[in-house]
Amino acid sequence: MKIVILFLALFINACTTVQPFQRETLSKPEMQFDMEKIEIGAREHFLNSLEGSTGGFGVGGGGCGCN
Amino acid sequence: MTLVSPYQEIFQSSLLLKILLSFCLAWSTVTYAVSVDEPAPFFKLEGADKNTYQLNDFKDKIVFINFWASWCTPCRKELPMLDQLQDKFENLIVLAINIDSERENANQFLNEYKINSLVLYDPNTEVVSNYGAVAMPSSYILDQNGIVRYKHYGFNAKKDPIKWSQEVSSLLHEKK
Repeated sequence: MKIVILFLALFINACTTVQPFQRETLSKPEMQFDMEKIEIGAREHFLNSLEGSTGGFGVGGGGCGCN
Repeated sequence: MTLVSPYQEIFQSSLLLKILLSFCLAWSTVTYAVSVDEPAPFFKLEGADKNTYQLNDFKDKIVFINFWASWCTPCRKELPMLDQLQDKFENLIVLAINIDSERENANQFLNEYKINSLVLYDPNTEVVSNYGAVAMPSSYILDQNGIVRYKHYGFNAKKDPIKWSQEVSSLLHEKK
């Protein structure tokens, strides 16, 4: 039983390497964090006005691995 | 009285450790990528004209294999430039291998841009995987003997078309 738990802990995980040619789903607009560009822009504007701070939204990468 | 860890027995067994290590190595993500001066991996794919093509059909020609997808922005910019390259050299064939899972998406782009290159479909990404493309787009230039001579990953609109022309003309000047 202990061995089974150890094997499961080692080999059943959610991490995998997504190859550049497998990024079709990731490149879809609905997979982007900033899909609603107008809403994101409004939120950034509110934050800037209310708190005097800006930035900190979105993430980089997730594209096709080119250049 | 000595305290014995429940896992102590397991880790004391050297045989079990060896098995664990071999599993770890086997599961590591090592991917194969075709190297320069290696024969190009064989493929047989259906084309946009409904005919089936294989790599051997283009013997005695310089073959420019380009892997592209409609969801890849640089690929969409690159394809029209590959058309221009093909028009420039008589003994060159550009194979634009599309890897979209749904052919409709590729056809939508092709209807819009009217690409003259020979378009092939690899919806299961088997061929692109065999070539070990590390970026999208990826291109491979094969000499007249079917050997991979140049590889290009990504697309640089300023530099790449010049490089392609230089590489193709150098291959055309080589003796078979």
